[in-house]
Amino acid sequence: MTGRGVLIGNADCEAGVAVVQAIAREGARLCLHGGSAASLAPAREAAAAAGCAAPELYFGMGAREAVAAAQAGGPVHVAISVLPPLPAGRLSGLADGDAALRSGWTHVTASAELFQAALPAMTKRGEGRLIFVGPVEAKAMTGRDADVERAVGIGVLGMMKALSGEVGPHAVTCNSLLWDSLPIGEGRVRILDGLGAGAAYFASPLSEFLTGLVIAVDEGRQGGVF
Amino acid sequence: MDLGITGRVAVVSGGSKGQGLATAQVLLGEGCKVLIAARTPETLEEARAQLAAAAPGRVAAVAADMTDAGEVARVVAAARRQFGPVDIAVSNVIGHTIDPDEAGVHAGYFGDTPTREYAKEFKQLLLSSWWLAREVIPDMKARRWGRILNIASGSAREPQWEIPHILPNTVRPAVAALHRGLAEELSPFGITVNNMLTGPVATQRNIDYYTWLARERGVSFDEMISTTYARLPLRRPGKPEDMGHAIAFLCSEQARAISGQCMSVVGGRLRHVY
Repeated sequence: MTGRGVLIGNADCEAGVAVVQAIAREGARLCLHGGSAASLAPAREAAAAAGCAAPELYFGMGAREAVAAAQAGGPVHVAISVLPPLPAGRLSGLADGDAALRSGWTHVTASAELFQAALPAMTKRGEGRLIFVGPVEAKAMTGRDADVERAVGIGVLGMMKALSGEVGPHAVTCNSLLWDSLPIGEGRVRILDGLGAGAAYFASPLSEFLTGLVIAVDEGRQGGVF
Repeated sequence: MDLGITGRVAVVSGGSKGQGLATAQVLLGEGCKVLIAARTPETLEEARAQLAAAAPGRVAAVAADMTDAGEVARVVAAARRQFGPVDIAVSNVIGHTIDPDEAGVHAGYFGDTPTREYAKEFKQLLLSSWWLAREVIPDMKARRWGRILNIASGSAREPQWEIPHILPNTVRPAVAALHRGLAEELSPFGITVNNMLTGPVATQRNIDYYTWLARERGVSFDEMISTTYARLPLRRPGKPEDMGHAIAFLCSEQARAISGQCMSVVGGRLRHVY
């Protein structure tokens, strides 16, 4: 991973910070995209604590612009889109479920923009990694009411699976990690550590034959056999 | 990537060839002590010598039939005696035989597979993995750390009906279900349980399989495998070490929150979203 360019979208949310920390440990060139310098501060500090003193910060711009800016400094080998927390609850219980769904769906668009912008250079180079990080609710009903996150997460999963078939011939892989945000305390630490490790593994050259996967990071609690 | 498993004790069944051997190599590379088990003493000794040359003092081998409960117990006891309690158990028992030159392939289509073959496949794939898990769970529970991993097949999730594969199509899902249940039961003890779903990996077994299948269909071997690989998004077969790396990751300290998963290492062949 040393020297590989890794762009992480929504690096300023809790899951994003966990991914940043794990990737930083591997010696990658880190490019962090988020809402503002202040919101990216925890990710920057996590990167520094893990050995990456000066991650590149991109904020106040869309995903396409962030990719272009990151590519100006060197190749982006890995693009990671992290879904931030979206309005919780059942759609029927939300004051404006329609607005929540519409707003949530912009994150599908943002993931698509991030990957679309990063892909041409990857396919030209004949190697790349696209990774989506979302909620485990996209795969399983849990004790958390998260209708909006579920709908958005599943949308991105479908896109990732279709994309894996489309870009596989260019040796670009597409994989997803779904994390369980229900646990608190030590359990949450374990899950976030596992989420970061999974992202680092999918970002690494060691996973070159793995594509189209959806892996839950939930200590085996949720979901069915598959 | 430091997987954090230096010094861990691993048992790998079917460890003398192919994916089992590659798994043993990767685990040794991560600093584990590894006992490999396989049926044929000569092949096993060759593998042991090869592994030991790169990792002296950290390799043991026991010739055993891992589809026999008593033999499985003997292997686990040998690992415990030689290295200590088993931390990582990789079940890599093959099912139906593949002999391209003589006996052929006994995976069959539904209509031409004797029912006794179902019982045999059940024993080889499901019971054997359960017996290995059963033997290692007490020590893992006591130490509150363990990794149980089963090398399975993509057919656990998507039956392959274009080839004679009724036996794995039937039994592999049952193995996945067994491991899913174990994952839930053992999670509170720090033990993870996962399945690796393999497929188009360039092992000798797969080469033998496609050699036989090409002959059955009256096409050349090259035509057979190029058609097969063209269906994969990644357009190439996997290497045994691809499996080895994936297994080592799932057995790592860092993967402690990943359990009950079926990770497919099939070049993207499976078409379901989940």
